[in-house]
Parts: sequence; structure tokens; C-alpha cells
Amino acid sequence: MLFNSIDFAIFLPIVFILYWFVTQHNLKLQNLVIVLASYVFYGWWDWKFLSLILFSTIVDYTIGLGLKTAITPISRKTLLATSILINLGFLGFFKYYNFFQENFVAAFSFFGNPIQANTLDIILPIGISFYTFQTLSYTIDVYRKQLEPTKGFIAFSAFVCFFPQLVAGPIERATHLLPQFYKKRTFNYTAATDGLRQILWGLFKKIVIADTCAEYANTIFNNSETYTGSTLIIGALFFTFQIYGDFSGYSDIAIGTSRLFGFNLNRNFAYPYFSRDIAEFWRRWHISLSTWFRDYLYIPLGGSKGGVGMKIRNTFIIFIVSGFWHGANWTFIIWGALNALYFLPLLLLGMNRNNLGPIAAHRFFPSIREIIKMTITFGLTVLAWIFFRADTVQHAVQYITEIASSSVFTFPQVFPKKVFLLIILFMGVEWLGRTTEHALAGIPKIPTLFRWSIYSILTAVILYYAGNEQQFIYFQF
Amino acid sequence: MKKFLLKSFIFLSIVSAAALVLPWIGPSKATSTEYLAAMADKHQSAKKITTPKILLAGGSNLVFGIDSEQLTAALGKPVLNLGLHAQLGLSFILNELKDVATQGDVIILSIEHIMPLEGNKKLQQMVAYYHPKALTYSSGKQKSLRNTFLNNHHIHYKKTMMQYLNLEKKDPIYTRGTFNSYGDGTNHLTMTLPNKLGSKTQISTDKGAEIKLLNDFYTYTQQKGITVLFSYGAYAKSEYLKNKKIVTQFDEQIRQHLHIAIISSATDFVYPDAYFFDSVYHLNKKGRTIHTQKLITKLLQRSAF
Repeated sequence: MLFNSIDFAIFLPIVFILYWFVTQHNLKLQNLVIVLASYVFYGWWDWKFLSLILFSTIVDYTIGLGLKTAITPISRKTLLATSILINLGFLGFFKYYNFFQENFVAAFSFFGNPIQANTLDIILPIGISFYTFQTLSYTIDVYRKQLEPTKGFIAFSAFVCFFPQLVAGPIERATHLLPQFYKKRTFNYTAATDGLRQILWGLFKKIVIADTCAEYANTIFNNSETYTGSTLIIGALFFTFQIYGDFSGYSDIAIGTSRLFGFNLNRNFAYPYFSRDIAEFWRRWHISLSTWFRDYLYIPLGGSKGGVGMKIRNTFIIFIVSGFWHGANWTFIIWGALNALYFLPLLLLGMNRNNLGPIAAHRFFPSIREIIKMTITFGLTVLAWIFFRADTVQHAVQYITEIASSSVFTFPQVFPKKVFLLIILFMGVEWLGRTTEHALAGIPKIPTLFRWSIYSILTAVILYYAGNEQQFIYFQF
Repeated sequence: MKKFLLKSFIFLSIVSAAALVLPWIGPSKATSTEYLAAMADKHQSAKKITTPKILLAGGSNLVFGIDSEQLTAALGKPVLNLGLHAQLGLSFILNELKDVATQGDVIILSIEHIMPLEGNKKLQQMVAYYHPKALTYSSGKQKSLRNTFLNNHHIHYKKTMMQYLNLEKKDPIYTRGTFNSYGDGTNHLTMTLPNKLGSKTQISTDKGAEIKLLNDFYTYTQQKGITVLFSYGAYAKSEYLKNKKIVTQFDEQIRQHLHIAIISSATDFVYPDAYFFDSVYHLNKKGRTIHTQKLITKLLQRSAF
């Protein structure tokens, strides 16, 4: 089920009523409602893949309990390895089987030993990368004794399949989300209204910004050979805003929806396009994934504590794995490697934690220095997104080569003024809200009439742009 | 909770009521400048013709390429040009004809090579906003009740907002006002036009499904006492040369399998690029005059005239 669909607009109030009124605030019943609603939500896309979620839930629930009783290090390690193998095994099969097979065939052919192998027609289950990482975090935390294994199967199931964040995150840690399924939930008016505001802003980002930019980005990227360098820059810019609107919009809707049910999810985006360097960008973009990799991969590898060689190795590993997590294509790997190259100088020079505070703190406008830093960071990000969006590495290289040609000095063949105006307005609102959780969080300070007018205008604009229920980009990851 | 529910209810009620009601009390559809709204006007014109008529059916090649007044004078029967947009699809256009054509009428089908079988659902729904009966012209696949209602209402909402805010596209050529009482586009006749031929779309090679649909339509017209003729539309030479092989294959296919009488060869209406303006199917004033004359000559050779 898509957040930007009529189906969800009907589904959400029904679940809300069942959750708060029918269950009479009974915690177990509320969790059961969440599990059933989540299965309906996921099954709306393809009910057959529900078995995968259920299987993953049973495996990690059982292993969690097993870890409690297992005493010897060997048995504990075996249990952890089993969980990792099963979870990553599923992920590997559904997401990476064809990629590895094709590359093996290509490698053998390259060395003069051509082999024949057929790829499989595999459908990638939506959200598999997200819920796999979420369940893995549970088992790892239990193994590390940072979390007591849960005995409640329903609560654990609800943690694994919690519908607002099931298919595209934020990837929640068991230490943060699971205990919330055991706490008595009382309806919080302030949290719920703020949740609705966040949903509204998320829908605006997705339907108005991302889907509008997508039309142009898709046309330009799909026919890039026919466009001038200047037009290709427009295409890359539109994709930059498309992916941000799409993914952060989803996260906003997910977080806002959770708040309606008394849950608090982790922040996933913090105005990343206002970052002053790449290190800051990665503290603000897809935060739940970055911190997941930091805690479960980067730090176990030694983090940035070793020598220069180790720092370089670990940085490349984490960024390349992060790129590969997005999809089985060399374009994502290059995108990850490129970000590692951006990040490394900062790390090696000890400048990766220079920009920890808010942007233009206590000021309305940024300083010239901040503007220059933000522009450079944004430019580097746009360049990297070309690899992320391109169909193949060759496509990306051709795209960039054309941008580097003299045709970049011609007027773009595609220049939709209205869309630029929308983006400027959008970024303006984000700038105003940059010190808050989401762009509309500061709105309660505004007088009621003005506030309601803003809600109404936003809703009218969303309805105007609605119509195509376009899937979210991150569903495919 | 009560406060939350009450406020949410009030807000949703206001928004829903506005979204549902505004389109129905908004600016009149009759004042819209939307190009596709012309379908409603054309059907109004059709109702006014009580004697047997000649109906021109196809895409926008007809809008820009025919002088129906001249055709009426030459053929002695009232002519109505139903041409609007190729992307509405063949199935849609044939169903529209079933709604308009009556006994004794002559239909001249002038189909672009690029016309799809099913057509663009959004365009069809947009047309249906102005001419509600067009909902019945879509084929089964396009008719999902839920989508039709929602999308139709959404188009309704969008169009009303555009009219309210005066944001409707003000294209001098693709506008409802371009059509004369015969259904021909006329604004392009008085303007200085560019000669940039776009719309170079890929032509599909297998037209088996289209031919079957046309043959079924032919059977229908036979039963109703309607004459139907097939003609190629005007086509730019450079594009023809590029697609010569596919066009020839298509011509062989229809000559073998189509039951409808064919009044032109695949090259009869291929004209120099200088006769077109913004598309390889859209004739300028000079091209229109020559094409109309050629079509009249071809038609006068038929026993139906």
C-alpha cells in the first residue's frame, strides 16, 4: 500500500479507530492490531511475500531466546551466525543473485573461460533491505547483551513489521523501538497533531516536489544522448530534489503516522542539502542507515581508531557496502566509492566533525562562507547522484562527459520555470524550519487562522498535484 | 483525544467539501480554453446536422490538414471534422464514431501511423470531463470504475483550480477557440509558424490488432448502413523516408487484410517538410490547401460521391 494512495487514506483512520477505541487501551490487543494492520498493509502489494516477513520474525525471535539460554561463546556465536546467514541469505538471493551470477559469467568470459548460466526471474520483495536490517539489529544487540531478548512474540512481530516504517524505514534499532511495544500508550494530543503536520509535509515533498521533478528527471536521464550538457545539469538537479522529496517525504509520513499511534521513530533526514561538508551531509541523510552501518560494521572493523591505512580501508568498506545496499548495480557501488573519496580528506585531516552545530545558528541568512561551503557540498552530491540514477556506469560517464562539453554553455532545452519556483519555495520553507524536527514543526507558534490557511493551501496544492500514485524510489531497495 | 478528533474532523470536512464541491460550482466548462474541450463542441455540431453527413475521423492530422468548408462545397454533403488527438487511440475513436454516425453517413478514417490501439487513459479522462459520454468510448481495460471516478474528479478539481487561478495554458494553436463550426483548426492559418518538426515517434510494425478492430468496425457500419473509407493522413517526406520500410509493410498488411475500402496509397499524401509546422503530421496553410484538394480528387473517384 502506498502512503500517497486513496487506499492508505481509508486504511489509516480504520486502524486508528481500532487501535485507540476497539482495543480499550489493552497493550496486547493494540500490538495485535498493529501486526494485523501491518500484514494487510504489506499484503496489499503482494501477500505471498508475507511468509518471508513471518519467517524472518520467527527465526530472530527464536534465536533471541536461544541467545539467552546459550552459555558458551561458541553456541552464542553459532546462533548469531545463523541469524546473519538466514537474513542476509534471503537478501542475497532476492536482491543480489542475478548480479553476482552475471558478474561471474562476465569475469570467466574475460579470462577466456566462457561459461553459460541463466539468470533467474526474481521479484524483489518490497522493503526486504529495511526489515532485514531491523531484525538483524535485534539479534546483534541481544548477542552483545545490550538488550534482553523479548518473550512476547506479538510485540516482537509488531517491531519487525510495524507498518509505517516497514517498507522504507527509518530502520529502527530494537533498543529504541522494541521497548515501546511494552509501554502503556496514552494518546498525546501535541505529538499527534505534530504527526499530522509531518504527514502533510511528507505528502507535499512526495507528491508535489518528487513526482513533479521525476517527470523531468526521467525524461532527461532516459534520453540523455539527445540533450545538451546544460539540460543534463537540469536533469541531475531535478533528480537531486526528486530523491530527497521522495525518500525524506516517506520518512516524514512514516514518523508522523507512528506518532498518531503513540510511537516515536528516529529522525531520518535533517535538511541534508544545507550541509557544509560531506561528513555533515552523511550525518543528515538517511541517518538510520548511516548509523546502522556505523554501529554494526564500521566500529567493529576498528572505525577510525587505527592508522591511516585502516581508516581508508574502513571508510571505503562502509561507503561501498552502503552503496551496494541500495541495489545490485555497479552504479551504486561507484556512488558509494565516490562518497568515500569525498569523505576521506575530511577524515584524514581531522575535519569530519567540524560542522556539528546548526546551520546559520541564531541568524536568518547564512554567511558567505557557509553559502560557499553549502554550494560545494551540494554540487558534489549532485555529481554523485548521477551515478545513483544512471542505468549503467557507462551511461553515467557519458552523462558527465556531455556536461563537461561546450554544450553546457547553451541555454537548457528543458527549463520548467514553475518547477524551479516550486523547488525554491520548498527549500525556503525547509530553511525556515531547519532547526526543528521537520519543516512544519514551528508552525504552532503562528496564529490559528494563518496556520489553518497554510494547512488548507498545502492540502489544495497536494490534491492538485496528486493523481498518479507513484511508487517511492526506496521501495526498490 | 476528543479535541484531536474534532479538529481533524473539521479540517478534513472543510478540505473534502472544498475539493468535492468546488469543481461543481467553479467556472463553467463552456468557458474553458482547453484544446480537448473541443470534443464537446464537435458533438454539439453533429447534433445540429440532420441530413446524411461526412465524418472525418482520426487524430490531429485532420485538425490542421483539412478545409472542411471546401470539402462540403465539393462533395455536396455537410462535413464534420471529428479529428482531435491521435493519442486518444483507435478503439476510442471508433467507439466515438458509433455514437455519432447514423444511416447514410460516410466516414473517412484518416489514421496516423503512431495512433495507439487503446490510447492514453489520462487524455481520455480529460476529454470525458468536458464530454461525459466519452467515458463510454474507452475500452474495457481503461474503464476501472474506481479509477475513472477518482481520476475524473481529480481532473475536474485540477481544471477548476486552473480556471479559478487563471492558469490555463494559453497556447494560440492548441486551444478550443481554434476550431471552426466544421471542426477544423484555423488559428494556425493566420500565424507565422515555425518549421520544427517534432513528434517523431516510433511506429509499431505489427498492426494486426488494429486491422481486426477496423474490420469489426466495418461489419458494424455495414449493419447500420454507413459507408466507411480508409485514407492515409498527411505525412512529412523526411519522416516517411526514415520509416519507409515499416510504412510499406503496414501498407501491405492493410491491403491484404483490411475490409474497408482504401482510397489512397501510402505515398499519396506524403508532402515536403516545408508544408508542415510543428509535427510531421501537422500541415501549414499551404499544405492544408494542397491536401484538401488531393483528398477531394480522391473522394470524387468513389461511387459514394
